[in-house]
Amino acid sequence: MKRKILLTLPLVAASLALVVSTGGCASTAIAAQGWSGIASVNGKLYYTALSATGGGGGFLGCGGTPPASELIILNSTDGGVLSTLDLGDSTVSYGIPVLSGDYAFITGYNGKVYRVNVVSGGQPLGVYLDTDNPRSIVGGAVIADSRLFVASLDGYVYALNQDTLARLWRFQTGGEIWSTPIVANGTVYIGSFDKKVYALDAATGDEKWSFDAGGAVVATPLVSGDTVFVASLGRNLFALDANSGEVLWQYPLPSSSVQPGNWFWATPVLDGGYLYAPNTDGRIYVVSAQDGTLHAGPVKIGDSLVSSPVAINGNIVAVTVSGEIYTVDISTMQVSGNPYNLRTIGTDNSAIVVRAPLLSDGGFVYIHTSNPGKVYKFDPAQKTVTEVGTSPSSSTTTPTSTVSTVTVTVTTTA
Amino acid sequence: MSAIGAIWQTAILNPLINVMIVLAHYLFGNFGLAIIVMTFVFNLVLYPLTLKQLKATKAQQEIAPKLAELRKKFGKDSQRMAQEQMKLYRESGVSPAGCLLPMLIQTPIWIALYQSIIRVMAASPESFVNLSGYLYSWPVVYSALPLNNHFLWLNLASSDMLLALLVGAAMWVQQKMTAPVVSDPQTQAQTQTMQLMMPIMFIFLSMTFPSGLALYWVISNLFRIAIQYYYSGWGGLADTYQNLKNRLFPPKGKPPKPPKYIRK
Repeated sequence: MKRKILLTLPLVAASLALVVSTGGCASTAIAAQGWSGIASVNGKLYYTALSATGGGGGFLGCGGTPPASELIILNSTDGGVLSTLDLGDSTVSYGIPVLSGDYAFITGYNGKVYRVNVVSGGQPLGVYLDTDNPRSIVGGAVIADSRLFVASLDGYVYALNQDTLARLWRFQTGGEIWSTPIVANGTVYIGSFDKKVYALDAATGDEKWSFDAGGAVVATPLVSGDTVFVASLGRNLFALDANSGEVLWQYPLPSSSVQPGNWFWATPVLDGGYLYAPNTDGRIYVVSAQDGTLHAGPVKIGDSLVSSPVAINGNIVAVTVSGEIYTVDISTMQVSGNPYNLRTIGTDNSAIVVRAPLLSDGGFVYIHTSNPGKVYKFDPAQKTVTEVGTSPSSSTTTPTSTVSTVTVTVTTTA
Repeated sequence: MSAIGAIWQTAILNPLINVMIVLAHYLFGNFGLAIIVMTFVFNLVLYPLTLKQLKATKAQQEIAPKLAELRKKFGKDSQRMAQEQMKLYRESGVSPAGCLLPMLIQTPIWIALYQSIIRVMAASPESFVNLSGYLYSWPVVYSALPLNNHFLWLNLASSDMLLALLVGAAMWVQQKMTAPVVSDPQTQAQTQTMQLMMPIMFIFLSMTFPSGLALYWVISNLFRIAIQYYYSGWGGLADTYQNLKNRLFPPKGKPPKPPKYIRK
């Protein structure tokens, strides 16, 4: 018996070593980290992150106490932290917080939508989109006419009452939805993994039209006037008639000599009649919003572009997934000198990743990074980068929250 | 990325990921079927090595009684024992590493397949967006993605208890079939421990890894069971079955049939 135990020990040790060397608990080895974008309202910046303190424990990376999710509010003037509100759960977010009145609305990867009072703090309200079969939410939310629109990996688009988060209607697409909806002229536009873009009546959830984009659509459609611009993982850009879904133009045409090398993952930027579409091949494709012809480039930036760029002071600012900040002069389409690399700042930034959409606010560009999660303020004029959210703000507005979350059962009306 | 990492990605991982995506596309968009087909292809490619391993195992089984005799004779003189053992290997044409080499060659394939499944199945948004870095510019790759994670009752991106147990069972059967016949109690105990611990270890690993990889292990083990059966029948599994039968339904008037290693 003793011999058996002695023989067994090296085997157990070897198996544990194998597990550790391959990343430990598989579910955490490829764990969701989130890439919450930043919202700017009335001089304050809002984003979500997992608490830097707390969490830990467990064995071989499995189990243990997960860190709490927080809504962090910064003063955009001094970059200091105004308050940190606990959502009462441990989940990550991939959407940009939406602000309406005193409340911020946050989508959670755990399948919940949260409503947090950012003025008085207090107990956040957390609601599963589907209490029976909760699925993750990867996109963000949008508010229109006192309704919150959000979609989930269960393939449904949901309309919720803004005050109670009760479901008003839901519409099923043919695949998972990773996209954030957009609402314009009483219509909800959203892309799905079923490779279609849908236009839904915001009041009833009835389908107005759908369009087959030939590839999954993750980017939020862009609406300008009567045109909807769509970027797809099928390596195409489309301009659609907002009322009928009819194709106005497609880029590239199958006969085109220039074919995008990879996915159009992020939402393009529309500026000065041109669409600046970042691609995961590391290029920005600049096409005419009028007819879809390639205006310039494609402009080679760096490695993969996953975060949406911004147009600011005659420049397009784009950040690659590995943290290189590039500035493209719109008038010349020239990429400015050497990029600023976030990985070279500090000692713990060597594996920094940028996937969250950029925010342009007050002449600065805000970048929310992952691994580690930090917020940087980039000045395109001075080409300087400052980390914000590292110390308390000089302002005294500090709402507080209680830890527990209220979970309510949603009344199904559709 | 290190040079070795870059070579690994360019030469092994990228082709494997893209071939599996294309394969899944032509197999009704089903990644589970793609894994099964790839497993068959891998095992067919490795068939000569597997055969070599089986031959080496059989040869080692054949010289096992002679080794036991040597142990009895020279067990206390380790230097002489090693000399005689090597002499026996040389005379019998048995390579002590004959069983290990095919296993070592399979290991990188496991790792490559594991990494491919993890990346293609993309259990998190981060994994999915990272997949773009591995894609060729073939149009079919872009129209195929995202793949369906579901196969039978499985979500291939997450672990599955039932499939993990199937991995353990298939591995145990396969090990029993190839188990060497030994008379030395110490070696016998060692073999029995191995036969039990390896499946347990793989059950544990399967419960930790995505079920897509466990599917590969199950299919791979079934493939090897079929080859083993074709090559040398049920082997030690027949004895195990006989022992179990004797214990459960003892024959009247007759003592239970002892295992083969005691009969020898």
